[in-house]
Amino acid sequence: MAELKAPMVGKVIEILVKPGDVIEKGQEIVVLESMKMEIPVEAGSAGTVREVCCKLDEAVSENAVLVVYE
Amino acid sequence: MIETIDKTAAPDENIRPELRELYERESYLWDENRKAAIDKLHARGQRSARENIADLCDPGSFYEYGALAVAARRSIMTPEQLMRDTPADGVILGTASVNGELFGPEKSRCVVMSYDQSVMAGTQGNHGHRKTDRMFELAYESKLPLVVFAGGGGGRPGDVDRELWYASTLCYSTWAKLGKLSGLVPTVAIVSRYCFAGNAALAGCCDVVIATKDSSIGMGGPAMIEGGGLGVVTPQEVGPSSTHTKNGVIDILVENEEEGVAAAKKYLSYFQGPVEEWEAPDQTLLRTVLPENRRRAYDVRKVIDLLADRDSVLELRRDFAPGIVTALIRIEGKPFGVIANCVRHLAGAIDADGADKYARFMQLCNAHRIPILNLVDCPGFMVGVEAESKALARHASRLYIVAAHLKVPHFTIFMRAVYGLGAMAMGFGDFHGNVMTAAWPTAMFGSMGVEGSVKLGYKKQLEAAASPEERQKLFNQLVAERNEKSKAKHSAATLEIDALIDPARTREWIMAGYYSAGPMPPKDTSGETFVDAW
Repeated sequence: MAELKAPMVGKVIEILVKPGDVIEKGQEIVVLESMKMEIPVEAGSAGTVREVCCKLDEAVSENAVLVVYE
Repeated sequence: MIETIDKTAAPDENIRPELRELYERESYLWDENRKAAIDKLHARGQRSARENIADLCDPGSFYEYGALAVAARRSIMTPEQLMRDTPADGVILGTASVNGELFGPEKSRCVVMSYDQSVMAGTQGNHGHRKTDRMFELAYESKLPLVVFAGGGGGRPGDVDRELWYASTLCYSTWAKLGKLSGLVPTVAIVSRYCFAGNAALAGCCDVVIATKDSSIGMGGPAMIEGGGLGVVTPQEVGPSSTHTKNGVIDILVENEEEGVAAAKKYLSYFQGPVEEWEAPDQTLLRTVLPENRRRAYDVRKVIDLLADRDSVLELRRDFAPGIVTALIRIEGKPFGVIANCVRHLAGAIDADGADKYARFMQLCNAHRIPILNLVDCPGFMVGVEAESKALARHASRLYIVAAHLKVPHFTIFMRAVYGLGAMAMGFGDFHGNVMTAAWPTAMFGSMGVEGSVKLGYKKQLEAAASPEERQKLFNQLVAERNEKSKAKHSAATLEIDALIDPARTREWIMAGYYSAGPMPPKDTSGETFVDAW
């Protein structure tokens, strides 16, 4: 089981996957907005999405789990 | 298994007794005659000191100094015990060539040393100090780069003989002698497992610290921590690599000693000179490397990988101050230092740690006469109450002072955001002090961020708007006007920068700048130039 974590404080502005999606290493999974910058958060490894743990427009803290996949 | 000695010199039956005595004495040093001690290292995933040295040095090029030294324990151990249990007094050192195939016999000559963690845990004994000091002096006089495998337990209690001459041994000048090498020759530390106290201070004095994942680096080890009344901790808890990659103590993290040696050879190569063979990536990819959406973050390492010769990038302090990327690269075989903003962290704003990382890397390149290339996408220095509480005014200002003292040619490429004092510092604090500055068409220049400048500059007009809707409309209009005026073409037309260029021609421009800078100024050998440990 792998966790995609927020690299910094920010707001979730795009969620590009849903449970069941097969994802590749390096694929953009979630986009955060922080410091007026859109920051794509990429999968560290390949897998299948199990759970999306964030909502659109949600403010997330650093290291918050955004997506769980395996 | 790495061959650690040159067996071609092994004696035959008929040699004279004096020579036989030499070979018999030397045999105490060899790994194969120290099986139990070496097996212990291997069992915990470490190589022997001699294996590391053999891997680092060109075959047959290591000439060992002070090999016959033993611990200062003659009053409590027999000569046989000393030879058997304290070979070389726990530190193996000499001169060698590294990367000789690329750079020839003179430029590849180095001083190489390794504490021997199979001898009294790699601690520093009295004769060990005399050996290291001798080599530091030789490196100083002969301008030889230094590579030291620095892991070890620090000062060695129990070298009782020295009580005849010393009360505290604080008059040892080992670290000061290594300090004198700073800025004069490249100094490289490789650390595996425990590196405490005196050993940690040696690593800390070096230009670069390469450390394995299982390393612990601390100015005081567990015994000193407990002695200070600070509780009982394991060596693994004191300065582990997971901490030291983030705080900047470790420059290059490696899996094991084999990777560490490979990293040391690559690191050293940039300071040994240009290479003949190189290959450039497809430069047209630079036209699309930045996202079309200006607000989109990206990994600036992709830009560096495209600009540099293939496989020539070595990043330093990757996980420390991630908003600034520092790397050694080659372009057309020539070594360069690169400093780039990484907008994934604080949108590329420079914070106190970022400023320190940047300033220190400039010092490193300048001391060793490596030209510097800056890649700019910077919205300014970090703002905010927290950022200022970290003494940002001082750390940020360090950039102007260090850049103002650079002797090496430097070049700046403005890629995207070029705003405020932070971007000015990214242009070395003086755009026209560069040999060449160029901007990509995506660059936007401003004395401060556009929205902030509109809010400040048009405060009265905005307040005078008839309604909030009108105010927003005016604000948007002013921002649009400002954005248009921020385009790089205006900075080029007003001669703030030297050229507006096709990103695909960046390498050409850099090399034109490199050759236009004239010969590299000679190194400062006056003893005044050094590279801050931090």
